[in-house]
Amino acid sequence: MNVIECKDLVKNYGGANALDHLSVFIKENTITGLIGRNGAGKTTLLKIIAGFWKATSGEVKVFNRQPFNNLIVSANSIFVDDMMDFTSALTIKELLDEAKTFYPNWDHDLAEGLLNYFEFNPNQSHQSLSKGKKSTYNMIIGLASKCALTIFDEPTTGMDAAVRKDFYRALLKDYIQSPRTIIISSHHLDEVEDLLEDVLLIHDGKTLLHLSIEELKEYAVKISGRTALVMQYLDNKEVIYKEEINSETCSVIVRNNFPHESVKRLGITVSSVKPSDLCVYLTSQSKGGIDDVFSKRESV
Amino acid sequence: MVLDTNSTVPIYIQIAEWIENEILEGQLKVDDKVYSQYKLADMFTINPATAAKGLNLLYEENVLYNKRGLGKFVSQDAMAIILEKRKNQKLKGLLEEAVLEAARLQVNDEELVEMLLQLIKTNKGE
Amino acid sequence: MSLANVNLSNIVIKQYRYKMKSFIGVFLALMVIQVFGILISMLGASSSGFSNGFFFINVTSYTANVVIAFTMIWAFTNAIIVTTKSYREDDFTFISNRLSYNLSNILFLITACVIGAITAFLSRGVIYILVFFVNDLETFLTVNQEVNMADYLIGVLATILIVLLAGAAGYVVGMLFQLNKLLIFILPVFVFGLDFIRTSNESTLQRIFEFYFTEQVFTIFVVKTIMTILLGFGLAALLTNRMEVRR
Repeated sequence: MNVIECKDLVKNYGGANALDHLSVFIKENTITGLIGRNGAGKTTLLKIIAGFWKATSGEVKVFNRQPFNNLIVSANSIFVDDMMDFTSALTIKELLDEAKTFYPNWDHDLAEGLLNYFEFNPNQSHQSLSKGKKSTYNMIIGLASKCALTIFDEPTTGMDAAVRKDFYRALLKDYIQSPRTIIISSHHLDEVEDLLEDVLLIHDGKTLLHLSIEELKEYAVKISGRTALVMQYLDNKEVIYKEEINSETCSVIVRNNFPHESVKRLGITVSSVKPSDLCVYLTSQSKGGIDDVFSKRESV
Repeated sequence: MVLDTNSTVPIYIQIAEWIENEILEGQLKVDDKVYSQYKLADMFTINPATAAKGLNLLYEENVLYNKRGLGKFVSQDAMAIILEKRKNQKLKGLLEEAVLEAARLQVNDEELVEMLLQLIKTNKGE
Repeated sequence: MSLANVNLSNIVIKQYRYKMKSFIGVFLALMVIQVFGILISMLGASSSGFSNGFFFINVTSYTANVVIAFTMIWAFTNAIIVTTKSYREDDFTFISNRLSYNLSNILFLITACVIGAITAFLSRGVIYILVFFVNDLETFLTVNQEVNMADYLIGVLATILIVLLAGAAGYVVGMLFQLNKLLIFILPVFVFGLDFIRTSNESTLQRIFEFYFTEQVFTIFVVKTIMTILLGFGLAALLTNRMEVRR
């Protein structure tokens, strides 16, 4: 069953299309990583799914309902980011009690356990927390609410490496205990990829790829060797990115849809591409990357 | 065991190999129940779907068998299947790499075989 | 995971209770402003003196009108503050839609205005007592007719309605500001502009005030104010029902 269905979603924002005819379906009880460059439309998509913003055109369904202004969708989803606002009149401990009254599946033991583990002073106000602590607190709210759709938008902003690791572990353990649909947008695909079942890569407001993490790992390979040899071999290949080293040798990222043995026999090395690198390659503006900028300047 | 997340080997294959090693080392015996996908996910901090994929791989290779509603168990021929597979895949792959590298370094066939025989001898403790 | 079912009234009540706890500052402001109003009222609203050669009589009358006026200003500004972004975001962190958000705001404002109006009304007694103790008075008269319970309640009700009217006005104005920031400048110009539009020798603004505050028949006053309050809250809720949140 699909929890989220977006068809031809367009969101005009400040004169430009933040989402440009984006379509995507997200299955129930999966952890999906939402990956994309800054400004690719990640937050816009998530806020439309959460029912905060309305789409300019196209169709969006969450739990088979239009999410905008929908109380059922609101009750069964939570949107966690570093901009979450809580009243300053209550302490962070009291805020947990408030959240408990709202969310029907709220896990108070988990919330208090995590608050304790991360060594919060329960009498502090949310406003007085540091950036990293705020993110950690928001994450606790997100996990303990146990909403059927849990959205984390850049949840680890400001967290140090140890807390990030704990967060991912907590997320996974909680997911195993209570499977639900989780979307996590992140710049650090490296850090989250083991947690993910699917990866949704968006670029310029469109879906670029939506694959399982294993498929993504095998989506492309890097072939490298003597430039003349590699170039000759590229003719019938789908090139994703050229990473020229020099005129002698080069390496190129291509779609992984050919038998490797024959290539290896030619003396070309075939190696795998890390998903995080692949996402960078796929979303880079020119096929040459940052080096292109410098090589062009040199040639002038 | 810690997974090598930077490795070129996909995580689900690493999971499958880890279970194979458990069987080879005798930690898991014939008809023993294998860890569930959730247990594996928890142990290695990976998505349960990835763990399930590793288990399914072994099921398809008849290393594991299914008991409905109970989970996956080590099959009678598990050991033999794993050994055969490793021989065919891993060893063959390694040898293939060696042959390719030899060609690149312009080492001729006799030399390569000689090197291999030498290695075997040293390994036997001579 | 099966979907949790929720109903509107349930969420509205939860949001209302959350607001009563988190908007505590609103009541602190009320206390400060009413104490200030009481102090000013102690100076006396009007005073006149006359003498027959033997006695010099100075009559000063005291009312709670200043306190009520201050409470109206408080209700108006408080309602505007409730509509601001930071207060709105608090709601949309937890379960909410725009209707439940508006309804819980309105419930909260009604509660606050009723409390404010009743304390403002009762402050008259406080003013009398304070004046009695502070001033060295020869005679202390309360020029009331038989204080009849019904009159007393009418007084309370009228105060509540007047304060609520200010609150509803503030809520509409606040929501208009939220819809378009330019209105922060346009709206005051428009309101003061009404002062210059004269059909007779009274300005439109004056006539609007007279429409409510010089009404002699109490029941008509009640109908006029309640209709206006409902209209104001309804308009605000309608205007913001398509508003995007967590921008």
